[in-house]
Amino acid sequence: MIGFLIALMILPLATAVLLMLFRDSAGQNTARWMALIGSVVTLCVAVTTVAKYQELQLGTATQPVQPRVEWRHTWLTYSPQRTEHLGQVASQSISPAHVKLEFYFGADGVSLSLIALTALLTISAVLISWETIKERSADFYVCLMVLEAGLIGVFLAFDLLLFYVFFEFTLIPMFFMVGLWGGSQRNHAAIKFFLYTLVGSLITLLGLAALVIMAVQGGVATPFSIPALASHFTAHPMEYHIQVILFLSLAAGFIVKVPLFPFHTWLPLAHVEAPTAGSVMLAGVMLKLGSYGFFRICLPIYRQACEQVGLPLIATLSVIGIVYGSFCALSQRDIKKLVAYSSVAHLGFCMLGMFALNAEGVTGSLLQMINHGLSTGALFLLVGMIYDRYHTRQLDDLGGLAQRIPLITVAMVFTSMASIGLPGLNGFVGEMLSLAGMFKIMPLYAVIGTSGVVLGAWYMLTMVQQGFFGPLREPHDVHDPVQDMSPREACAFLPLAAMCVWIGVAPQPFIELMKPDIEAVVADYDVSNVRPLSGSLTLTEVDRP
Amino acid sequence: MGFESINSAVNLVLPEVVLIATVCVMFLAAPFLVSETGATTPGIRHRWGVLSLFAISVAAWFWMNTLLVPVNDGPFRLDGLVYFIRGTTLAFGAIISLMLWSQVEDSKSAECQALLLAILAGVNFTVAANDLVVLFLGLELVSIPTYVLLALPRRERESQEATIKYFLLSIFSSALVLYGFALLYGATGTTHYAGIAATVAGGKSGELSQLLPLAVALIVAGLSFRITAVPFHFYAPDVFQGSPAFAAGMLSLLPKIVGFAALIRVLSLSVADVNFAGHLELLGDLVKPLLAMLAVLTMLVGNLMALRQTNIHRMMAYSSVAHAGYMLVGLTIGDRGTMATGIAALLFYLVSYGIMTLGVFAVLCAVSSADRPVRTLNDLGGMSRHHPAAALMLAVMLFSLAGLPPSGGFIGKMNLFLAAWSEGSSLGRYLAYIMAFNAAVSAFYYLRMIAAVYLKPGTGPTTMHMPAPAALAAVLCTVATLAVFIAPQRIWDAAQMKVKTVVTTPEGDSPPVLTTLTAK
Repeated sequence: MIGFLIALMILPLATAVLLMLFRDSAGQNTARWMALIGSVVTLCVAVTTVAKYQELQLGTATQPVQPRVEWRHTWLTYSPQRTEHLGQVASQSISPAHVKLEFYFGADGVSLSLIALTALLTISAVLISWETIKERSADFYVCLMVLEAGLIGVFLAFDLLLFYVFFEFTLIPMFFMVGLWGGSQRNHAAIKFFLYTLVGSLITLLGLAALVIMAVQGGVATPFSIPALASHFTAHPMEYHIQVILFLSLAAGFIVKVPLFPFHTWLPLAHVEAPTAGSVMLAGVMLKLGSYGFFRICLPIYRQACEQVGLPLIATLSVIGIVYGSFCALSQRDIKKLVAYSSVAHLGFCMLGMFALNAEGVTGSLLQMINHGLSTGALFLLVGMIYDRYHTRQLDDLGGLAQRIPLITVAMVFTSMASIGLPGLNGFVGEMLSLAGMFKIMPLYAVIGTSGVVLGAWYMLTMVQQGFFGPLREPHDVHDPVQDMSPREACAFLPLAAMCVWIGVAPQPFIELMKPDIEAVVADYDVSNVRPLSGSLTLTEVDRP
Repeated sequence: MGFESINSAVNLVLPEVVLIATVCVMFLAAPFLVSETGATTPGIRHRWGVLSLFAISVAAWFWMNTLLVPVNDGPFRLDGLVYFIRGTTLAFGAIISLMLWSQVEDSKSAECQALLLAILAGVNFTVAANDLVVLFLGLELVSIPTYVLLALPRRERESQEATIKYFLLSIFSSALVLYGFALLYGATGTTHYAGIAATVAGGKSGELSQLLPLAVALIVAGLSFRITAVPFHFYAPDVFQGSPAFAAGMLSLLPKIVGFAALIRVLSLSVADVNFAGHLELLGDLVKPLLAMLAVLTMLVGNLMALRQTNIHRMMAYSSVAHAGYMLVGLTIGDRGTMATGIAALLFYLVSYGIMTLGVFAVLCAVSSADRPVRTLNDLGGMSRHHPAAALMLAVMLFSLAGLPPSGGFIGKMNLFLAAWSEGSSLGRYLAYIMAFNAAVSAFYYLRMIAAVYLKPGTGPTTMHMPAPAALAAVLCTVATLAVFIAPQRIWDAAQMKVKTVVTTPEGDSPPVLTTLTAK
């Protein structure tokens, strides 16, 4: 089992190294086949790991955060020296030998599902770049594989600093993907994306450092280990105001990454300029790092702060994001930008569910993370396919495409439905659970959030109607006969569509996989039990003693 | 001093003896191998390079095989700090030697290599000093060869201007340091560390004790020139711009090593070595805000000025100023800090900073040629196409400088963060905030340089074949920065060991250090 986890990270890295070694001799063809094989093998390992994990028949978790399989190796031991003249300072420090950083990899149901999502989307990303990436294709696939390794690393890391390391590291390949293979404004987009998220992450780093120091003072033996921190601070909560400060500083990086309104401005730009594969990975997995960070670190460690500050703050930002993102999406003429803004709205649902702080909400939130990865990933794939054919994404230039490319149109309609949240498809399950969770504690937010579903239908269907139906309208400079979806593109799209249907029809296995871990995290929150349904229509209600 | 004591003193500095002996051989032999017109056997620099590396490795052998000894009365000491700095200097010396190897023409190669070795010996003497006079001699043994090394390779106006600037300011800083030493001597009546510490601790300096704060302030100011702390940094951009890449790399690192080593020594003499009885509280209260102010100014000015630069050497000069600021945070924290002590974090950062800054200059050495030197960011355009390997290495170094994982720079910054935060006072926390802010600012200009390498179109530097020594230096730095990230334990232990020795009283026990060392 451990071997599989390590292999999950090593495989993409090894592929990247091989690609780099043969980057001169290998042509475009070899490079893309190598990348494809590497990513398919990774997916196989990921699926096997999930299967094996389910065979383990694990019961409920006993700790708030508990990796069910783990591998630890000491990275750096801080051994502060006691010095005579320091006196009182030295007496505070705990037994020095224990303060250490670790290579602490592990997995539970949540991380495994996200890893499987990452592996799946990477294959689609490779396939969709098959023809379009002509320049420096070996380098491109190196970036993609390194990105995959980094993303999987985030989900596997159970050491606070290791988590941060992977969290930050994923910026680097994404920076190159946007900057080197992006659209006309790629330099600007890449740098803005990088700096914006970096500034957020640095505030997070400060929060992490402070958290670790708090843990050391509290006598935690391994202050960098997330499970130990979660257990400790669940049993002995920090002072309330310290919790709030640390929660906010930690949240800074995650909020930017999610992104929540008003910190979303980097997202549309980065998406529009990124190559299709970059958009798929960015929307599909990278945005989830933020919400995953909330789930993994903030929820189990800062309980009071999450209840009393996180809940009103994040929920407010989320509903604003849902409504605002939807209206922004509605007014876009560029399909890709439209999808990008729809991400802002969908991630709003995700965060809304997360901060319902009950099992339904968090389950919905995590499902929403996966669903958004699948459906938005698929949407970006389809937008990429259209762009490859027409070299434009403007709705003003396109119309009635159903006559030309019926298969892509079918796919588009299907994915739009999944994205809107049509019952029977995946989006419905996640949004439903998130909103249900939120409705239990703050119906007002849930009600406003629900408007997002309507708005979602509005902008998605408008886009489909304008772009794909009605009289045929094509850019004039397209002379080649436009082909419908090719088998390669179908291979990229169909797995995602199949997953959409599967989660929509039978979400139970996915919920079961994550359930014990979610329940362990939310076990100590009693928000849902205490709050009467009727009384929570006002915001001030949140400030309960 | 009898023959016996000279003998035992020499035993403490065997690596330096090896270096200086090689310097003598090179200076004596080199003139006979170059004709009056400057013609010489082509490729003779390879021999000098090999000789220089050989000398460094012999010195390194002595370094590894000398055991630390308790602090004594002689002119030299051999404690954890010496062990750490000596190893660092020799390792970086080898890398600079490789860079110099490919940048200096045959006829001047011997002198340049010899000067480099002399500088290395000077750094080590400074840190091994047990006496203010030896400390000053060490500092000068660094300065004087540096003047010559800056003047020797090039004959252009820019280069000469750089040399003169460095020369004048360096002299000025030496004078400040010397003045501070004189006051310290005046107040305590001795130049020997143990004597000074004892006098200060015992409060025996009497009414002259008012001199101590002034002395410390002067010494800090003088040494601030070496570490390019603001406001003593202003020579750095011009000097870096006028120097060849290897010299700029050397200037960005070795003066910092020597400056910080001397600062640690002198400040621990007046602060950490001494129980803060009575009036000396005052001195501690003075030094800490002074250092904190220096740190904040240095970080901010360095980073903000670097934002505006287009000349790579100038940008790296300001970047080196900014990194001096980060290290000053460590010095301000001193031996406080419950998780990581400031000094240990500083020493660790010195290593990771050295690797990355030398790495950048090594890559610049490797890709620039006489006909097409890499000066501005535009010269880097298209580099990723024509020199993919060099571009990748440069990117690794720059990400490391920006403090992004997975690199030594990240671990280094993390340690400084933890040290500052765990110090417990609000000063430490503010320093951590300011460091985080600066890390974000600095990412901008490093990213601009990466963007120039990867995203800008252009023909790139045109050197067809990278010179092997410089390329080797770049590869070594790249591997090292990744290695420091993955396995930082050894360096951290070495950095920690030092803290123990410096902090204990001069008569204190170093045998524990000895045992930990030999156990490794």
